Amino acid sequence: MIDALLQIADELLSQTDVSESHLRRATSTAYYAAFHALCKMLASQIVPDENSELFVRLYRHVNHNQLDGNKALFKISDETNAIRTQLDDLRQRRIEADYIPAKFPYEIVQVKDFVNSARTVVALIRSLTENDRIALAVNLLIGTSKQRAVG
Amino acid sequence: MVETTDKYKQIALELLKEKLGKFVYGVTVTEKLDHNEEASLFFEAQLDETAPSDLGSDFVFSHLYLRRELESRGEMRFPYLATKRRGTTTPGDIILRSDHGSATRRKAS
Repeated sequence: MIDALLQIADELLSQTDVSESHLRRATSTAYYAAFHALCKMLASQIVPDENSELFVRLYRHVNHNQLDGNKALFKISDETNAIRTQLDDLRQRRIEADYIPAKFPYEIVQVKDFVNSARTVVALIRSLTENDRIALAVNLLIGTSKQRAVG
Repeated sequence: MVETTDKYKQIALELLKEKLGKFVYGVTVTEKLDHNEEASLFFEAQLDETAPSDLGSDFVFSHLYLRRELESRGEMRFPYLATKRRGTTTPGDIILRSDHGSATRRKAS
C-alpha cells in the first residue's frame, strides 16, 4: 500500500490537466504513505504476520497526535529525528490540503517536493537499524521512560 | 518580530546553502500558527534552476539541522520548510485548471 500511495501521488501530478484538487490529493496521499510506513514498521517489529489481528491492532496504535509535541519519542538517532521532523511538516501540508478551503497555496513543483520528501521518509523508516526500530516501536507503544515516570 | 525573522532568514540561508546546496539563493520566513494553533515558523527555501528535481535525504536532513540550529538558540517554534523553485519549465509546472472559478492557465514560478 505504501509504494502504491506514492505512485498515486506521482500520477496525480503527472496528469495533463492538473487542478488544485490533484495537488491537494497528492499532498494528502504523500503524508499518508509516510504515516503508513511508520505504522507498518511498528507492527511488523513485533508481529511479523501482517494478516493477524494483533498486527492490525499494533498498526492502528500509532496516531497522528503522537507526532505533535512528542518529539522525545523520536529522540533516538539522527534518522528518527529526521523522520519526525518531516512527518510533522508533511502533516501540516496534509491538513492544509484536506481541511482549509482557501486557495491551496502550493504549486505543482512544491507538491512534487512534498511527495519526494515522503518517499525519503519511507526509505529512512525502512532502513532504520534494528536498535532504532526497536527503540522507536517501544517509544510509540509505551512512551519514553521519562514520560512514564511523569505519568 | 522583524529582527528575529531577519536573523533566522540569514541562519537558514547559510545552513541550507551548506547542507543542501549552493542552488539555494534565498529564504523567506513567516511567523504564523500551525494546524495545532501553535506559533510556528514557515520557511521557504528559494532554489534556482540548478537544483535537482529530487532533493532526497539532503532536504530531509537539512530540515532537521535547521530545527536543531534554531533550538540551540532557544527557538522552540517548529520550523516548517518548503521549497520554491525558480524557472521550472516542465509541462507539469503549468496548472491548467483552477477549482476556484473559471479555467485559468497559471505558470508556476
